[in-house]
Amino acid sequence: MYWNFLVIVLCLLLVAILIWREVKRRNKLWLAARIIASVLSIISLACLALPITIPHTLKETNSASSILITEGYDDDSIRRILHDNPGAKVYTTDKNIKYSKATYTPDVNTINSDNSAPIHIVGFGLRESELNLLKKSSILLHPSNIKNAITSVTWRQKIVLGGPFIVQGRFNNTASSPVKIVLSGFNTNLDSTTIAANKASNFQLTTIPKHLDKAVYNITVLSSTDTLENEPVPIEVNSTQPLSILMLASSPDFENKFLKNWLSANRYKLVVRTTITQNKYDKEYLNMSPISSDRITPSLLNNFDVIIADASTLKSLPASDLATVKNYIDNKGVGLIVKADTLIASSAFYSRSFPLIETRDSIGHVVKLNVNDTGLTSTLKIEQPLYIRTVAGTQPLIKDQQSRVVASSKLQGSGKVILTTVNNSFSWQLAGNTQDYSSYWTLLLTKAAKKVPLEEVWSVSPSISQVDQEVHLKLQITKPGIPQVQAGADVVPMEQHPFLPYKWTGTYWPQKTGWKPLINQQGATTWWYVYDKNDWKGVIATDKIRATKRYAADHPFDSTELSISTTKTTTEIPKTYFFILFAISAGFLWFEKKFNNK
Amino acid sequence: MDNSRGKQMLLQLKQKWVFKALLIHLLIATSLSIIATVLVYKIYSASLLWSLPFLVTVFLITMLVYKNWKLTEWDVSRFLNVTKPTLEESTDLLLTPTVSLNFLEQLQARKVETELAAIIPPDPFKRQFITSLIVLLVAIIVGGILWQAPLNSSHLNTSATPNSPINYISEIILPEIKNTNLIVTPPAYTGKTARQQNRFNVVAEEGAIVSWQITTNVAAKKVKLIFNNGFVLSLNTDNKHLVWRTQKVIKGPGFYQVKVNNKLSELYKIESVKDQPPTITLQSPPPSTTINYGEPERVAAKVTLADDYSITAANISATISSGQGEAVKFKEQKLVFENFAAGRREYQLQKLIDCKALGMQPGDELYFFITAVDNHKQETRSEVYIVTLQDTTDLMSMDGMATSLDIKPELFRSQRQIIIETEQLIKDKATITPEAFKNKSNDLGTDQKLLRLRYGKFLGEETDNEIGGDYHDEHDHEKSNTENANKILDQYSHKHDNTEDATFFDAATKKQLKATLNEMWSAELKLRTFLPKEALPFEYKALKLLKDLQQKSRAYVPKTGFKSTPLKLDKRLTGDLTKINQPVTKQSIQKPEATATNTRRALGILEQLKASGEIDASSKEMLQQAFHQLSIRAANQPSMYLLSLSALRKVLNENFRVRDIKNAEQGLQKMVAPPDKLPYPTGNAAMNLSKHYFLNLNKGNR
Repeated sequence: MYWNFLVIVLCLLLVAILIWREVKRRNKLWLAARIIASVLSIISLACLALPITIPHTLKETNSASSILITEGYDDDSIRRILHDNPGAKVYTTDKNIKYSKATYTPDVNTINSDNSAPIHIVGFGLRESELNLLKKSSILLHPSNIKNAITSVTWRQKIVLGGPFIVQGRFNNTASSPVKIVLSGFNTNLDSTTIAANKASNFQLTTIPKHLDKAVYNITVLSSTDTLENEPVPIEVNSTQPLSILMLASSPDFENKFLKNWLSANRYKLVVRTTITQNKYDKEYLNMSPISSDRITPSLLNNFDVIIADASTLKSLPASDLATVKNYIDNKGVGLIVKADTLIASSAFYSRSFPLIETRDSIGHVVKLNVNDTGLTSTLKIEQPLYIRTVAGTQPLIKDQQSRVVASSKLQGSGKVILTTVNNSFSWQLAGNTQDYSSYWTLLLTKAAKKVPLEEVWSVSPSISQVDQEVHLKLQITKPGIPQVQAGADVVPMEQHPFLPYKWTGTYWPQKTGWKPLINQQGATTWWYVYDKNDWKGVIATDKIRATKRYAADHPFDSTELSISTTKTTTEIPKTYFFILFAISAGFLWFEKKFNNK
Repeated sequence: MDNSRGKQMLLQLKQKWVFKALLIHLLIATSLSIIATVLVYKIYSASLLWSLPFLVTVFLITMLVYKNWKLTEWDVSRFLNVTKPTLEESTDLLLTPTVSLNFLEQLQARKVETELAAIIPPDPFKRQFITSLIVLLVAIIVGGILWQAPLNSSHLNTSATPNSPINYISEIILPEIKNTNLIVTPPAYTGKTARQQNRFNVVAEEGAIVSWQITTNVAAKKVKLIFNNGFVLSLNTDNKHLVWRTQKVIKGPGFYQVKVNNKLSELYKIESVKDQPPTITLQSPPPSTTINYGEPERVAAKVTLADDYSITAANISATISSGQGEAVKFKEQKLVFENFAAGRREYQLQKLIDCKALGMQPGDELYFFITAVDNHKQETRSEVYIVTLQDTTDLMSMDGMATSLDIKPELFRSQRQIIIETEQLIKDKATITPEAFKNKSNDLGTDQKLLRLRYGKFLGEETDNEIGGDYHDEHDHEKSNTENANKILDQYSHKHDNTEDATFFDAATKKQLKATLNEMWSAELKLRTFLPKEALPFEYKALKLLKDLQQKSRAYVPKTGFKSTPLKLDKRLTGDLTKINQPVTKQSIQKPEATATNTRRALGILEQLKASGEIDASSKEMLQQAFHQLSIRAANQPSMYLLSLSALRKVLNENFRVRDIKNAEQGLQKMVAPPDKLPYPTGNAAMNLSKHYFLNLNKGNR
């Protein structure tokens, strides 16, 4: 008040002096205008010094809402919310956000002092861990668009040697030029794709990793001029464990011979039993010591993961042997691959779910197979091919180019039965198409093989776990007792699930980026990757928006809780207007003096 | 009163100026077209003749733009009026006819005329002329500079061919080395001159002598070159121990290091360019040629020879084999190409091999191949080509027909009869009337037709309108079927049920029969058109094919009935098999842990090293092995792997940066083959709860 008074008095004095000087001036030209300009300039000077407000009435809720600015915010939406909710307080939990009116608060919880008003969240939103701190106060999300970034991405971090490594994702290209996404590893570009301008589209990059053990590949997004993103893609490649396989054949043929050679060359354990005549067999033991295989007994089957047999062998097996086979599939999880022909016994357990369709024409069919949905193989010539009619409970594995099923599988107890009608896959080998041959048999054998029981299964959430962020470690373990878990050197206490005793969870804040070991003192080491704060920003933003939206949906804002009242408030007129007025009037005075003195 | 003299002077002046203007245009046009031609020549390697159209176009354009050559005498007078005050602005009076001038004007005209003769005529184009001369001079200089500059892309290539990629890789040299001077002297066979370079990476022809001259900036105790195979070459020096020299013959690719005192340099590449042996491509004849009776006894050999440097010799080695069985004789001959002159890189050669001139008789065979030698004494031989002269007497022999196994003699005899009668007819042509000749020829044609129809019956062709069907060689089709598994199966299986082949003959016989019918048809055609001489080759060919058929039929064994004792069904499958031993094979494939697996692990180790920066002993051993593999590769392909090799060495010496790891990884990644796809067991989280669930589910099902 004292300040206002002082300003007014000084200004009045100044006006009086100026007017007096103007009146006294000899040159009377423009006198009125000069006096007006002087007065105006002083008034505007005073207004610059004094706060000038305009009163107006407002509809207002009974409590002030608050705005929380998060990463990716834009000024327009804050302004709009402030316009709709005058008096709202602006907060941020991110120190890096430099918004003039925002108050920094390290804890989200301090924002909602009044429970009834919603929190407006501007930007990408909050992480799940932060949302949990909000204590059920309702929020309204004003999400921003994620520009020029990979918005989602996924890949399998652990693969086996020889398998494809596939990175799939989505890129939102808001720029007017196309961008190139490159997957690189070991200083070599492995695959790349291009996203057209102004388009959000999915991408897929594939490679077959050549290394063993852990490595970090990179995904680089390049526009015509510079690098938009460079993100790490951790990958762990493990070597394959050979299977042990029992092959039963009614007669020697090329199919078995080639399969035997291929498997044994790769150090798979193999017993091949080929019928010579009644109860006489030609027995071959590859990479394993001889065991009695005249009869199919439990002691024989204990040694194998998969049985490969042709239809006539199975048909001629003694009933007790067949029962043993079935028992092992049902209860021990052994797989059975049946090579079918038209003579197959259609009522047997291994063929019941696979009704066959015969083609009776005499033309040789040229067939291209779609193994594992990775594209068609090279051609295979089959005389009178057999196809399998798909029935409920079976899973077609391999189809030809017209989507007719040639190999199908079904669950049989804890094991699997696979039936294939291809009997000349060896022609791929003959033609030198080893790739097609190995992908065909890899699919069948991998599907059929007995599952290895895993002692412990780890999972980490969120999947992109960043440094200095809360990470949930989840462990499923068969062994009873409390697991003693270490993440690197740090001990992580685990909490047991109240209903599922084998499930344990722990919370951890990683402090360093890179590969980190998870050691359960009862078991082996599992590796997981901790990302840097700046990695995969677009993906993290998508996750945040999704989490915040879910939270907002769970905690809807009920407007009936708020009573609306009208109040009179005042708003301050911006100082710039007065400054402009001052500049104009002072400018006029200066110009007039220059002009008239001339 | 005549002012024609003055007018004449003005006209002369006009002519002079127009000429000068045109000259200026020409000068400008020349200078522009010089630059344009040089640029086009350098960039697109176009012909220099392009300068002419350029010149004409630019000249025309400048003429159209600046029309100063379109002077009239009036323009001249006006110019003189303006520039020469002494003419008193009256020169135009000289151009107007005297008749239309009044007295005063005539007087003035006369005065001006004398004045005009007195003055030095001004030159309005002087400055332009000088400017255009300067422009031409500048254009010539600029053109000359452009001519020297390496703008041309092909020009770049030719200068860089011997050491293409290496020239652009920056080299790191030891600080002790002031400069280096390498002289690569290619071996004589390349015909190339020695070249000089001041970098250590070498691309040299195989057998080239490389001499190093290394200047050190301080006196060094010793300077050595250490090669990839462990060979160490000490350099000789002068008294001051500043300039070091040595030389070595490059025999293969590899790499080397320079060692000054005890300091080792980077690895430098040695790439060697091998001399390729000459290549021989024969366009004709086909690998096997048969010259039938009546055809010219000549074979044209068309051959293309090529070598990377030059070919010094090329000839045909021909061997004639005559006689049969034990009486076979060989005669060797060397034939030269007439149009061959040594020293070129490529040749298109032709040689007509005249069988008669070589002394070949019917029934003889000629084997020949082509040899070419390049100037590095590398010799290449082509495949062996065979030319056979058909022996007709062989066909006429009765040997095969006299045996009792001949089941088709009566049919075949006729063809021979037709030949004999045709030959008789040709002999008699001079003595009989043309009418009788034609009749006889036609009769023979009819005989030939009857014979053809009789053979047609074997093929099921019982009408006249189908002649033999289409006969062609099917070998080509079979080649493409190698991938077909059935072809391989056919060799092992026994098929009965092909209705097509269930006739008297197998497929091959039928094919040959068809071919025979074709020949017969051609023979008949010639006979019926009264050309027995031309029919004769076809008749012979038909006979030859029939003869072959007959030879084949001699292996024929007729099927006979077989009566076995009746089976006792109750005894069937009751034999005692206890004595039969079951074969048991045991095999253990001890495939060593592949080197590829090792390299794969090394890649993983390097990746860990990026984060940790420390190598433990076992990893180091793994990396050592990978280094060994990489060094083998680097010795063969230094340009591809040498950078990685030196980077990996730094890693092994534990003196590395992240960039070195990356470089090492790149080489290993490139070196190792993509892994095979193999089946593997998948994991399953077998929790007790799910086991219980499964067991109870099974119970429920029962």
